[in-house]
Amino acid sequence: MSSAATESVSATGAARETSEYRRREVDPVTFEVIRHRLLAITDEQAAALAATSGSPLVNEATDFNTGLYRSYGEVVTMGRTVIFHAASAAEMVKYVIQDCAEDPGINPGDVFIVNHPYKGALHAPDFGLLAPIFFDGMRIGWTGVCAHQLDVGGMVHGGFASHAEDVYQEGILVPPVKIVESGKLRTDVWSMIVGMSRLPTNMSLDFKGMLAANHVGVRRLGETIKQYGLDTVLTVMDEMIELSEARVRARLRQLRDGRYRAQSFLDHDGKQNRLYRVHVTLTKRGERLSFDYSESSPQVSGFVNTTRTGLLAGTYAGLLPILAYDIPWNEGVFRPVEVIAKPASIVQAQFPAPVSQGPLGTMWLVEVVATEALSKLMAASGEFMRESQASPKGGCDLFNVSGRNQYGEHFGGTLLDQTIAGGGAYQHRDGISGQGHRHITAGRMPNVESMELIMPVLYLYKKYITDSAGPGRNRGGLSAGAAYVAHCTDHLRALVACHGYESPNARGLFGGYPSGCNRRRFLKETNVRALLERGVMPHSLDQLRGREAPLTAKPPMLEIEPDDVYEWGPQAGGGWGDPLEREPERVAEDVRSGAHSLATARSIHGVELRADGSADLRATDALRRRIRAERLRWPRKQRLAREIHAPENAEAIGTFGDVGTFVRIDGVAYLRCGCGFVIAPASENWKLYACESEAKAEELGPRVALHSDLIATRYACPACARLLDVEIRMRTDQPLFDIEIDS
Amino acid sequence: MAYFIGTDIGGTFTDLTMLSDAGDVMIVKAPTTPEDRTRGVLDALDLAAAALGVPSAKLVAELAYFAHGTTAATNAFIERKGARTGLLTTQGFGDILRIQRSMSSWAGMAVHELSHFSARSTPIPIVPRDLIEEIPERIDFRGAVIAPLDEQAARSGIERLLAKGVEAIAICLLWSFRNPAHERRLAEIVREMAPRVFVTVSSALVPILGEYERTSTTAINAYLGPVINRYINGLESSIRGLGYRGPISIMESGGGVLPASEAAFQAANLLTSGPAGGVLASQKLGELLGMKNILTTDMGGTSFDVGLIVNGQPLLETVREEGRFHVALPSIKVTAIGSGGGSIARVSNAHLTVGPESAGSAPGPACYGRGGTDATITDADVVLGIIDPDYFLGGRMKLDPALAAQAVRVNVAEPLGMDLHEAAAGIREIANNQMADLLRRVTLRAGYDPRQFVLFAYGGAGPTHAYQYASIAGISRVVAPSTASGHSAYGAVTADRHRSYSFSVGLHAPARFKRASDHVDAKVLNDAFALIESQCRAALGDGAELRRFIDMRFRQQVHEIGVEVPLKTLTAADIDELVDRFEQQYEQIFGANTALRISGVEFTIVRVGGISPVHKPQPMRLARATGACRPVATRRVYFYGLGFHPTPVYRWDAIAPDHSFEGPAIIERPDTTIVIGPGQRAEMEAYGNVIIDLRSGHDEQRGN
Repeated sequence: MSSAATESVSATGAARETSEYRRREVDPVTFEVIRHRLLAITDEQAAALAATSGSPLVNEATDFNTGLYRSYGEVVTMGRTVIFHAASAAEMVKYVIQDCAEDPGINPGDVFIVNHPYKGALHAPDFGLLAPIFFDGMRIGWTGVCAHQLDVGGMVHGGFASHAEDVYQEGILVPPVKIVESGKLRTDVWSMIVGMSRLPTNMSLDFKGMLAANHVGVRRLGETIKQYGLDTVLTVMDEMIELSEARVRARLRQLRDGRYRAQSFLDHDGKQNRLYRVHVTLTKRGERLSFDYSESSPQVSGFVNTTRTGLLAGTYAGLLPILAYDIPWNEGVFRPVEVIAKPASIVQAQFPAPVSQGPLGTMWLVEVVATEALSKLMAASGEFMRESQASPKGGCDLFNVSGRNQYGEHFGGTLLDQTIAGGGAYQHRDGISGQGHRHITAGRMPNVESMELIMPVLYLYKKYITDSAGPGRNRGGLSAGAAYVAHCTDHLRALVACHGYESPNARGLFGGYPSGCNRRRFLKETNVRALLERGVMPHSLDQLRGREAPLTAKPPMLEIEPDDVYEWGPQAGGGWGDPLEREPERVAEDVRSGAHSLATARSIHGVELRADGSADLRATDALRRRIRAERLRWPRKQRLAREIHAPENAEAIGTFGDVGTFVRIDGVAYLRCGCGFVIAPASENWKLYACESEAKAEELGPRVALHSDLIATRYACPACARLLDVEIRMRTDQPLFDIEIDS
Repeated sequence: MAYFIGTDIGGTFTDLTMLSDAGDVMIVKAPTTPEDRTRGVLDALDLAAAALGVPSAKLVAELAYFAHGTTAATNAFIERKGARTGLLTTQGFGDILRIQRSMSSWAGMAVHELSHFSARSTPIPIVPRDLIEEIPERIDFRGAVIAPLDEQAARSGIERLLAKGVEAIAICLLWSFRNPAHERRLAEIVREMAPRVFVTVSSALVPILGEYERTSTTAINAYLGPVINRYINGLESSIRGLGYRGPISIMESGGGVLPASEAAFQAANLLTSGPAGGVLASQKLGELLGMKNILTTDMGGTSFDVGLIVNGQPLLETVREEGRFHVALPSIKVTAIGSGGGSIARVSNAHLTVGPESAGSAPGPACYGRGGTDATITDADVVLGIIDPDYFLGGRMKLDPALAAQAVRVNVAEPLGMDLHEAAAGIREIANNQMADLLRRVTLRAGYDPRQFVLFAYGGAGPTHAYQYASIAGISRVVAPSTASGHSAYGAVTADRHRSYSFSVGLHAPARFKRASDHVDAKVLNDAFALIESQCRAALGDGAELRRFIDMRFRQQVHEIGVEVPLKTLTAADIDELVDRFEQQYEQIFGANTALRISGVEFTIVRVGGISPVHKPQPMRLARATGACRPVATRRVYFYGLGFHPTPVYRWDAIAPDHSFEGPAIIERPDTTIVIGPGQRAEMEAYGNVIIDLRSGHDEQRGN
């Protein structure tokens, strides 16, 4: 697997000529029947796990994945649940082989268990169970299941320990260990592992489900092999991988060669409110794709780092739905892909750096920057622009509550309302409101009543948050937010942790604005009780008086008293295209439906509304003219030596989203705006040639905050004033050369 | 003679199944008339009268019972042609229907569509945002009033909705199933302000926990209520206009029929009544044949629908996806994939796939000669000699075998370098395997093994393919019902009146409890059952047969199971026994040692299902065969892996009970073709159903 390029596990590099079977011709009918059967087996595995587990994380948030793998962990099939786990299980298989092949050996009927973040897991809460599949004494594949556990011991309940110095403090560390030996469960190992969790029974149930899922995989694949013969089934597996690989390579050949860059900044490492860079240069050449994260920050002492596995998982989560939207997801998709990073960097931490927040921290941003870089590649490639998307929500917020519940019992749990996040905008449509996290293909979030039943809280509201999404010609999807007051309890404690609190991670594309930041308010000593006693249920914090408690992205534990109110509203989807180009009627509808405020409609979209809420076209036109005229007064750093006129028939060699094209004039490639104006040579950063203006946080929207080390810059076409990009970067950085096509 | 008629409107045909006092069963089909669906029903009545050789008026005069299954609700919902509907909801929670628990971008999408993010979309709303009014009020999880209903604000909100011309209003407030006072008061105010507006109140229709599912169900019901009202009135006046004075029943999706007068108030309950009718018909037929564990399969033109009957009872689901929203009324569970006679076979990258895309009925399979050029499963059936092109619909529709062959050759055989018949057999093999994979999924997910079930095959294409998909799934017996092509209509005429009521109790025994009865008050359960039983008896009459259930689950877990509860006043001991029974049932479904008693047990919802039998004649046993049955022909039929086989062809009207058939054999009916595979055996039983024994032929059938 080429993706293990810089730090490959030795087993993956081992010679593995396929001597295990004889490749044979499989007729297309048998092929399709077996292919469908393998997918059905993966689905049955998920059903077996969900049936046994009963955990809401497995059943509703679908925080797990199942799959079938070839002998060395090559993905043959993967479930449509949380995409991250698919790469993780594959990596775990490689470590099982590396650590256990010699001693204690890998034998029929064995099952291995792993949660070591430096041996395939994303972080300690994610446990994997892997079972080798043997036929006639030969190991021909694996089946694997990964699932997130509610508690894995360590410093804090739930496993997100912001004060951990290293991975040892974060929870149980299980390297590949045999939990089932030749069909017999090792109850000593089982008891040792579940005994280190605060929720041993829940963990036991999940493990049982995972064993059942593996059992389904081993048994059903065995039946399939018995029916069709080993050579036939393995041929189909390998052909499935090769077919996907061939289709991805064919697609890559159709895409524009070049380098596509994206970066995002993680604020707060759990200890200090510093900024860290997650940066990728995506190089596409011919039928190869290389993700190079070398310019990302060195690893940090806090828990936000990710491991090599997390780097792969984040990259693949970015890749699969964009490049392989119609191609079966398996190892073949990854084969033309190389993933490069510096050792001991934030995206590829070195043991024993802490990583428990990694999947919600750096790994999340790996998905975000990979998604953005791939979107730029697609947007440079004509018809494939349709698959290009503005950023989804760029950071998760955690709200783990514990205390005594309304029934007098001790409880601990997670409020999941912030997962109802908006998606990024596309060239052809707005982002989808409340679609959920991008890497969960079909998630389901709890009802208010379900939460109020089991937790001592009263929701003041739960609704889509106005101005949460990034404006644009197409806007991002909205995220939902909520506010709570403690109910029928006298005290609660809450662990909250996010990034993107002062760093707009959900960037727009081609002039689209970023979404708002993760936002929270914690009002202490309010008059909420007095209102409730009078029978008034506040549904907005505006109705309350109280003391605003200062918060950071990762504050110390919150103590929630009966008079306190907590409110949060997360990042959402970024916008696509210049907001001044959104049809005034759509903006008016956004204001009516609560997607945008009147202020945003006016200042960012340049739309004036009448008293009845409809768009005032004449006033809008005047306002937009004024804004464009203002943009044309923005300075630019460089100008072409002479203004070049691009002839109508200039040779187009690539697209710049739907706002510009790359053209060749007299043998030189240029970026040309949609208005016809030639902005810059394609070989140079076009931003240096555009009109630019630094934007204050509030100019980007009422929910945007900017860390003191960040600046936001808007770039516009010097001729037509169309907004072409809204960039977020470190104050000390040069503008990012984002789309550099090979010319 | 008294006649009992069941009708079912499908996409292409309106089916009518008629039983007579004498136990005769007759099926006729008239084309569905989309612009006015009632006309298709009347056409079918005329056809039935003609088949009896009497004038329609005479048939109507002797009509004792009329039952009707309709897609009117489904069509209006899918096409979003419901009434203009407003929603009253708790202030601060007006986005419940837009948020959809984060399912808006994927609910109702097929698995293969989930990966294509750029093509995702959100459903067209049932209630637009500007017709949602947030009302100041709040009730908490105990049912305690936190904030009283602000009636003045409510009146203003309702006034605004009325000014916007709503025809229906849905009312759903937080925790209303615990304390319905605010919802009831709102309903009173609406009725006072606008007596003609159709009102649905969540605590009356679906008093269960979960504001999204409750709001969605309530809104859908209000949205469809006026439409169903008009539809039923139209149907009723047409039939009454013919002189019919007897009862009119409407099929619902929960397991029975409703009096026509109640249908509009249960409009959301009509949504999947068609597929439910097929499962109910199978249940009734199963009773007759002494079969209790049945997998039902309905393969039509575009989809393959699977239902499950366990121990004589159809498997229900409490929430189902519908038109990309959700309905939380208990209904017969039917799982579908896009595999039917019209499913299209394609080759891309030298690989062959079948479905889920379908040629439907327009243009339909290539052999229909209506301009379709794609190769479909039906085309494959024609190429292989399985379907006689001159006997499709009993010869009423001529199929063009040359077009079928052309489609399969051009789209499949040539791109793959295969022989024509090999390619056509391959299309069938792939489709049959996909359907077998679904049979496994449906049974395993419910905690059962498909091998323990008898499979019923109906729908136009079901009996043609069942011998193979059943055999691949490891099933050993297939029943092709005599009513195969009018099975849902048969379900409508044989179904009993049914109602179900539920009430959310929300009791629990905490973690590490010793005896559940120390924590769960039997009186609360007894009161709740008494309440909903009285509602059920009021709807069905005192003769109703009731069954009680409690939905239970382990705390912090998501799997709920309905545990049957004895019909008596519950004692503390009964409550402890319920926990034991829940635990046993849980492990039956989810596996040994999966019960997690230590985490505590919740008693979430009490339910009562009532059945009030509808009188109908028993089908009669047919006269036994008096002699051997002779094939009308022997034709060469191509079987996958075996090649051509000379295959005797029998006609349905020439066979009788006790006739038996050695596979390969084909039994042709005007509406379907029953295939008995090589090495299999079949016979007609006493009521005219064909039973195929697959076991003998299993190995050869697999082709290796």
